Amino acid sequence: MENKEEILQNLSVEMRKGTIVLSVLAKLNQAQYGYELSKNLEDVGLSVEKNTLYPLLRRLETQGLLESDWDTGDNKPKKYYRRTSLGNEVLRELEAMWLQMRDRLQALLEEE
Amino acid sequence: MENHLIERYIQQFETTLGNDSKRKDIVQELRSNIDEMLEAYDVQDEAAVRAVLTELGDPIKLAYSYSGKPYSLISGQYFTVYKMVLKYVAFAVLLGAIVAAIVNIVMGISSEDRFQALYDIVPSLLAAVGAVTVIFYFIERSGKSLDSKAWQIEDLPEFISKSKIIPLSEAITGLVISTIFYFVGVLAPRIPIEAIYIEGMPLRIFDYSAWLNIIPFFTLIYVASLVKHIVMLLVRKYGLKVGLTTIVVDLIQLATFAWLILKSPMFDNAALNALNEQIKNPWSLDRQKYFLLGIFTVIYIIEIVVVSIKSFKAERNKLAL
Repeated sequence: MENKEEILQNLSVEMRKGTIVLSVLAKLNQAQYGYELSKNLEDVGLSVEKNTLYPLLRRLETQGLLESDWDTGDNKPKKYYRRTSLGNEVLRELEAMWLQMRDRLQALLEEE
Repeated sequence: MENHLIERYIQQFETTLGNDSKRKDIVQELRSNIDEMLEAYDVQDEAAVRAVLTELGDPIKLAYSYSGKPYSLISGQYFTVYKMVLKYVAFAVLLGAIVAAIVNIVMGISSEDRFQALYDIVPSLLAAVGAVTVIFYFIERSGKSLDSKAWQIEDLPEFISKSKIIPLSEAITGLVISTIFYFVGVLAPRIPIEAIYIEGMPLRIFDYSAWLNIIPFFTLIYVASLVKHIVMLLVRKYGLKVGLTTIVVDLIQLATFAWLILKSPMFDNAALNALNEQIKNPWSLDRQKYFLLGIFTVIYIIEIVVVSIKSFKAERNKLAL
């Protein structure tokens, strides 16, 4: 049987899963490469596993929410991602959903 | 050494990606990400490389995440039925091989290969498992799974009594019987050739060398049968999917049987004509063959009509809801 810490850890991972796309889209108002984005998310306390983040960036690009460019100026080329106009629209919708959900949850928790 | 680990990691990652059209770009991006992750370490030694690669995790899983392809060959959606089909098919292959060996031994057929059917159990099992796996693979990769569209309350079928659901036993029996027939035919090809005796003399109605050449056609009939019964096991109710699958499979099988009976060289026509003369059969050999084909056709038409009616009724009930 799992102990409390394990249960909390698993539930926390589950809870954060749903917010990863929102976090990534929100942060990509400026072009960033994968590792840079990972660090930036970590700095604001929203760390995402790199093996989740890197494939996700490519999936969001395939869906048209992000676009990318290789910067080959440095001797180590980097792939920069940024939001597209579709990505902006989806982010606004997701943000509205998130705020609505937060308010409802807050109200629910205050009833306790 | 560190670089060696990175190259090994990237190679396994790239190999798993296969022929993904963006493979080069994905690999270049991974390499760039690894470099960036390494730069965060003060000393980029083997321990740092190990830490970075460990953080990225299994390169095979990572590659599947990138490609968006399913990680498993048969997903959980079908796995239970897949295991059940494998179990029954394996049982039927063993039974078929044992029956073939016993008949060979008891009848004293072809003394040099009496036990051949038993020796062939392992390759036969592998072939059967392979065929079942390939069928499930194609069902899984056929774009949409058999019940993949977003579920709606309207999708709920009318409540049907147990008698109207395709019984598990019906599909399994079909699966087992077709497997036994196919493997007995393949493992003991002399049985249908030497098993019929008239007045103490074997009546060779089939040409043995031709029999071996037509095994691929029996394989087609068997694989079509596997597909039909697997779809029945997955869907478990009459409707468009079971109806269409049955009609297509039955037509393929009937067309193959028609060719086998009328055109293939499997019959020993000289022996059959001699028999006809001996028993003074008024029917010509061609007429007998058409009669045999007629029996097959009637059986298949009955099945097509019955399944079509059941499927049509099921679809009509679904629309009426």
